[in-house]
Amino acid sequence: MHPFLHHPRWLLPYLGAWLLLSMFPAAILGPMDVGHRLQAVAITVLPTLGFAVATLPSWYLCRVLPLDRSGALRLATVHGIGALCGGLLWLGLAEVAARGAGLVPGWADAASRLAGHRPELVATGAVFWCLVAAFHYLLAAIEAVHEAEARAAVLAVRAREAALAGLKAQVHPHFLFNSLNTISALVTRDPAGARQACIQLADFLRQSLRTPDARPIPLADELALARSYLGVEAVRLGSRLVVREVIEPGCESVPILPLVLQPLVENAVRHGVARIPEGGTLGLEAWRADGFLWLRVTNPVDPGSPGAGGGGMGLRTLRDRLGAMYTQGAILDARRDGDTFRVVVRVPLEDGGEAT
Amino acid sequence: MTDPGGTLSILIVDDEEPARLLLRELLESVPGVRIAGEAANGLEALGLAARERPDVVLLDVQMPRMDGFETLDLLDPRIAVVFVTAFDEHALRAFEVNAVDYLLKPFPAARLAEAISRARARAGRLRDVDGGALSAAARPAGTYATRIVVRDGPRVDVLPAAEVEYARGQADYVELVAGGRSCLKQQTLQSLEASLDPGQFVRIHRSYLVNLAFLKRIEPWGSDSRQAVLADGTELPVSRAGLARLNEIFDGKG
Repeated sequence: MHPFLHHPRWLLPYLGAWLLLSMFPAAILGPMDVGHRLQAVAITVLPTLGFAVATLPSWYLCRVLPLDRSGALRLATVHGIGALCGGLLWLGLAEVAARGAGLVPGWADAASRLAGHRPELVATGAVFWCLVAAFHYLLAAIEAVHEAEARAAVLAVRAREAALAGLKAQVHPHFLFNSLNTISALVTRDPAGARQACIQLADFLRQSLRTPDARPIPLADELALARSYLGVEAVRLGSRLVVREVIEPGCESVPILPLVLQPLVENAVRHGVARIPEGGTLGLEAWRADGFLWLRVTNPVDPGSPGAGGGGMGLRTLRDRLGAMYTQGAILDARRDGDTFRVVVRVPLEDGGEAT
Repeated sequence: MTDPGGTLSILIVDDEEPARLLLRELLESVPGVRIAGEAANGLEALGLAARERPDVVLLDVQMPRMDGFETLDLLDPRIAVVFVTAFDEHALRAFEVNAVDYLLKPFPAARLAEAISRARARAGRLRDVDGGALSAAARPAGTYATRIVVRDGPRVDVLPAAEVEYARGQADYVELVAGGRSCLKQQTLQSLEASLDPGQFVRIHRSYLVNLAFLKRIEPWGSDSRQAVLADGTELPVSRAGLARLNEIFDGKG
């Protein structure tokens, strides 16, 4: 469809531009005293505007023959023929206008004004054709840019959906079987503890397996998932795992992308506390400042161990998800500082996370 | 150590207390066994094994600081080992390839008793599996050992692989040289070579594995031989095949 059909408002400036252009053929027609000048304008304005409208369908020709993908010869041939037809069309319209002007009282000589100027007028029409074509190619380029932007937006949404598809909390098999082994160990010597461990494991699994939802959830829900995970690990690791929570009151209701906290907490246990024979303290903090919700998870790292001390892959995925979900301001910073590994996540309080 | 048919002494090694308690409890119902001790990590296990001289070690795979495979390498080869793991597909593949007995957590008492009786049948024979081979088989493709665990008398050292300048093979032992110090480890040079990054460690000779980071130059030696000179001036022989391997690596790196 021609862009003007989408945007009829553009037609007015388009015709305005042609009104100005109609002064060029008027200038060709002599002689040029004031009366004749008016006459020449009268003869050229209507044909020019008519031409401008009549050649609008050449849009489709330009679409079929894109500049970048059509051979130069083919372009030259088609637009050469187009220019010739355009020139003749323009002359034809001018002839009609001249005849019409000749009917106006006192303008009897208008009908003969074109005599001797026909070749220039055909050439002008040909130039007009080229202007229309150039204009259409420009429109096509603008449209292509808009399409590319729309496509990029669609792709971004898809990428986001993909990021969310893998959103179910990963229940690591090693964690699951170790937990079952712990329960198996508790069954005879601590039946109540075994039952408690079953319930905690079930709690965690239930929350992990629920249908993933793209929508932000209250931080309280994220905390609950992280706590149920830590509850299971606490039975397994015993006194080796100490959790220190500092949650600023009021933070619980802040909406946040699901599964931000739990993976961080799991990393802190798997790559941190569980790798140290004597264990250590896992820090979990949340506070609000400067229009952002801040989360910090810290864990000790075994002094002898090389590397960053955190699960690189999981952090990368999380960073991508934060980037896809929040339009701006979301950051994830992970660093090892001596024998402590800390991850800080900052998400905007306002941006509900629904980037559109 | 006891004679086969007598009481079998068993060492339990797992970093999780509930897992140790479970093994202890299940072993109580297995006839003819005695628990020699419990260790929460590889280091403790080595100390206890040296003192208590158990017949069998029930060894967890994933443990902090020194994993089950690394511990296995430093354990007396007369001790039978049964691995215990929760879930680790790589470790499982390694066990299958090397025909090592293992228990999957959680396991029934009968499965433990079966493993114990197999260990009893093996008692007194030398172990024929080494931890290096197991770790190599258990490692995801394209990843290599970043540390080497060595025992120096009662002391256990963890050497970062990158710091090892070269290794010399001597029958069943390798001599590892790092920072001017050398230590011996019971492992074949082949097994060590298999566990390390082939882009960093090159077998320049039947008996020598060199860390390219410490290699300074290759120079002619005698009429048609070559020798490698390390950063600290150490000279090592280079065999014809070793030179070919070096050329291959340097050509590959452009």
